[in-house]
Amino acid sequence: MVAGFGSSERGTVVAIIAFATFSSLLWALIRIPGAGGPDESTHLILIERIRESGGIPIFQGFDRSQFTWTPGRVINAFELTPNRTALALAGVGSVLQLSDPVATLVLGRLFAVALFPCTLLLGYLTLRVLLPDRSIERLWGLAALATLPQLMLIHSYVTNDTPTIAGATLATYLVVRGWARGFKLLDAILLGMALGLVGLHKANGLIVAPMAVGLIAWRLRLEPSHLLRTLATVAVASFAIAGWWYVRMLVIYGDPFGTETTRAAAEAVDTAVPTPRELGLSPWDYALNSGWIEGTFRSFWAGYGVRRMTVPDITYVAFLLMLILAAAGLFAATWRAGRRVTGNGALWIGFALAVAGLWLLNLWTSWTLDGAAMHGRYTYPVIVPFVALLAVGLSRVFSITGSSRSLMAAMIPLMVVGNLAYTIFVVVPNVVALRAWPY
Amino acid sequence: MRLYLEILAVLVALGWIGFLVIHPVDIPVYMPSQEVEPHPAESIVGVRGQTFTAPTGELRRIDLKVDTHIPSGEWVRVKFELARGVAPRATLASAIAVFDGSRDSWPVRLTFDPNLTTAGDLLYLRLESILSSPRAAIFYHYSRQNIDPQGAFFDLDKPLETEQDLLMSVFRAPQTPKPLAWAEAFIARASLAAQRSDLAPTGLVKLIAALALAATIAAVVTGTRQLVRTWNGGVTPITKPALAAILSATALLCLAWGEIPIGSLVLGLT
Repeated sequence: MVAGFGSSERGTVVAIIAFATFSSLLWALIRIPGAGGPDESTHLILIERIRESGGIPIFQGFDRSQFTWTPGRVINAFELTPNRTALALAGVGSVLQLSDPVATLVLGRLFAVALFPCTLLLGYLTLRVLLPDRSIERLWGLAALATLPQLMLIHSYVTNDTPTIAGATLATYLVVRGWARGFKLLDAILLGMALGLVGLHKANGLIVAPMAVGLIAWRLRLEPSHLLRTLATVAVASFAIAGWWYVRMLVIYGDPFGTETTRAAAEAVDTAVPTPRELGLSPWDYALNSGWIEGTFRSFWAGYGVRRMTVPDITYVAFLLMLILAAAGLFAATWRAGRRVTGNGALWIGFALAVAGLWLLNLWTSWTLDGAAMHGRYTYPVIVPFVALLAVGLSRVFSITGSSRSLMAAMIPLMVVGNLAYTIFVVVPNVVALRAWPY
Repeated sequence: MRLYLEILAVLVALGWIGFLVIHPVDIPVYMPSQEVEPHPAESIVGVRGQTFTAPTGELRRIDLKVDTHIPSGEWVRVKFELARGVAPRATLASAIAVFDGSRDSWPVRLTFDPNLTTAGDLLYLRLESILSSPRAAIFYHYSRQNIDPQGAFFDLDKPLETEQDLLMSVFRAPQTPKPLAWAEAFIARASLAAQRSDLAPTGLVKLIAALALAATIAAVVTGTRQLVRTWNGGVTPITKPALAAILSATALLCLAWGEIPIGSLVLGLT
């Protein structure tokens, strides 16, 4: 038996992952086709277009009608998003001769479901390396990942968020593992490949790249040649996997990330709604006065769009309270540690910077591109660092009561039941409401 | 002292669990989404109603919400009536309630004999009110979306021209005895949604729902074991069972908070 991984913990891990997998599978099978979650229909159109054309479609600009109902700027330019799972799904669909788009949809959803236990297991393994002597905290972290409604939703429909999160979680695990082992050659190669996989799916996931580079640089700061060799290996492996996409974007559009192409195409359509930046708002004015903070916060936990699949307000208040308590705990822990960064301190700082960085990047995207505040899920590439910080912060605060581990343990079954309640009171009625009730 | 507190907590927890054990289980056949915005429809002229087709037989419960704005000393008398057809109308069961206070979002639960309805029946929930004065008012929560294409919202026994529907949940009797009926309530919900999405055979969805439920129970049990294992707050002879009971009761509260027999009007139609 692995040290610190008793049969009691193993049983809980298996049960939580089984719960999450079967629940997401259930959601995948009952959600309305094309309306499983944000942009599912768009991703399905991309898959169909790849199948029809036999290759990646070229972006031809926006249709006028695309801006008559939404201020969206970037969400419709799916040809510019590095969603390479769509290519694989289209290929598998062709091999299996799936002529019915619904069959492609089911295939895509099953792929998303299959990634959920992988992501959860990687998240748990990361927590095990980070918290070797704190079984309850890592179980709490696993339960938080498994029961977060929005994360489960993303693993039940066709979207490029799912592989992005899986790749970013794998990269996070490899960073933590490499940190513990001193970044051997294999660690660097695997990390580069993981970052490449992320780069082939969604640009927001690339936030783990600066986190990885920063942590490698800190860990190997006293070994310059080892550091350079490691960074070069990571870069080469990443480029070997994902470089072709960015080179292709550069050759075709002159724009490796596609953001400028999207903006220019949107501005060419006179019905496009101005972005907050074009309206002259500063990012901070926009964040504070547009409801961006509330919208992004809510959609991080559960719900998307204006009020689709939300939870009762009291639940968001509970999430906010948990966040405040965890932040207080982290602050207390940092205060106690003093100014010197020792041991794994830099790892935690890197995590915190990555989480904050992705939230800021999310704000920048909303401010410059689409003016929407429904993208809490965009921060999920750093969901494991976020949950690890949350677990440590809460544990620190709860330690005041002298029953930290018990309080953390008590939250585990409640989170599981809370997610089941979400299935019963939100997911099912949402499906029924979308189709009314035929007889 | 600590032991007495633990005994009290256990009694409260077991009381709640015991209530759920003896409480009848109802299986939803329709639930409006919380995304459907409720609007209050005032019953000024006396009769509102909603038609719907029974999707299954053995219906036995309808939930709706009302707002009452009733000054002191005034009242509103409402006859809740379940009928087959509108014109002609065959009354299946009815009951009268008198509201004498103001309240928003008042849950009303109408229960009736499951043998009264069969699948495919065109049913009419008729809400006839008498106001003690024009200062008293009752409002029914309804949707301005056409959430039930087969049914219609009625005023004075005539369908409204705009597509609106009364917001109500409809339940049937379970086909299995407790404790299986609780599982049936969950699996039936999944099955209901599966029929709408039409992505997978209903039997497969039922199987997945059963597995999800089993995994949930396993996760809750093992999680509770972690709590009992890590508890370091001192131990009396009943501390560990008390923890398990309190946690179970709290978990059940998340799932069955709507069944709490406080603050709702439960009316048996006969």
